[in-house]
Amino acid sequence: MLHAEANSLLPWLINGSLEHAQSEAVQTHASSCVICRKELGQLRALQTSAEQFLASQTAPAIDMRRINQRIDKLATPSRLQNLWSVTRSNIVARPWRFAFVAQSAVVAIVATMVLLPGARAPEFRTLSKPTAENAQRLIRAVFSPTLTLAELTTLLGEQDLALYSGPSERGVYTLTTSRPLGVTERSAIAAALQVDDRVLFAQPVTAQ
Amino acid sequence: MADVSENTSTPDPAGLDLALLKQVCGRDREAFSALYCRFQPKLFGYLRRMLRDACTAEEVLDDVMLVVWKDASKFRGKSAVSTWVFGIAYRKGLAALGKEKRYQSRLDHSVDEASLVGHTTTPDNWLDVGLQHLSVDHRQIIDLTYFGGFSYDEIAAIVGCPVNTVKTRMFHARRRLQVLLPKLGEPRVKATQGQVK
Ligand SMILES: [Zn+2]
Repeated sequence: MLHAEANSLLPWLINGSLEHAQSEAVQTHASSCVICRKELGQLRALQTSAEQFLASQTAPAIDMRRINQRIDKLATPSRLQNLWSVTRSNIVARPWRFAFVAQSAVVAIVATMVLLPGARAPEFRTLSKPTAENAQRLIRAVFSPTLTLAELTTLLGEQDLALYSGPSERGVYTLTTSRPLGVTERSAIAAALQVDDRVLFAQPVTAQ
Repeated sequence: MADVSENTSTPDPAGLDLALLKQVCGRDREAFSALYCRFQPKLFGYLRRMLRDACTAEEVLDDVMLVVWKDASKFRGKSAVSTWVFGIAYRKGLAALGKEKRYQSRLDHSVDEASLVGHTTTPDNWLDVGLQHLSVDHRQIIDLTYFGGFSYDEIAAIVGCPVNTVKTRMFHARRRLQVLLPKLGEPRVKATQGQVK
């Protein structure tokens, strides 16, 4: 084997990935080549350093929950699209949704009392016509059907939100912040909400 | 762990990977978990070295394994499963680097070598620090060889380039390291700049 070829293969001789015949040929050349022998020493130092570095590193504990959630989502294609096209008949046809709708008014009041002490229980409004005044408090959101009322309360509490109205025919809830906020701040809250996989959609309401 | 073999003998690592991947094709979550556990330490290390950030590395690792889940049936067996998975990791890692624009400085070949003088290194991180001063292309070849233990054929498949390109990049990376590493207080062997032609 010529020097140039043998020399180019030295790193893979060191990492042990050369096939037997090739490995033999490179070693035979190196045994009679001062330059390759010297460089083999340098490359062994590199390999040793790499192994010491690897030995000093630890990977984080394995947690399959995140990726399993993502796989679960794959199993339900275009879930957000589907939610936007959910009809009232669909809602009524599904017992859990029916229960959710029936309880939502109670939740709105309870959540408001719990999360916004002293706040007046809000009137229910249609989703399409927020006033300029209250639009500064509102965020629209769609939640996973698996979300329980207790989980919803906790979720909203973490962002200092309360239920304002909903769900709409399309399953959309309107949430209210405890004080008027700009779109940017409410976008940040919506983004924080969406970190939770059970929040399928969230965005601030803009005044019309 | 999922049952991956009908016989009682323990398959070799590559065989086990392949057996698990076949089960993943059948949407076997348990086999996928086993495959995830087998690849997580090496993939995380590789991505963290590439991205220099543990959180991003964890996120990209999940991106990689999600592709493995989705595309398991596309694996044709032309390479080892590990080569295929690392090829996905390489592309996902580069994409993440691009997104964060952090790759710009690392694409620059003309690093300030004076900045290496006095750099705190130990035998543990000596090579890792040196690699940060290589271009992304060169660093990948060194990383996959020394940290990953891949052959040049496998690296060509991972990076998606001809074998000769791998060898050429390795040649240039070695020459560059010969200049850089003595400045980091190269342990064990004193490499002298320009001695090897
Ligand atoms: Zn030689």
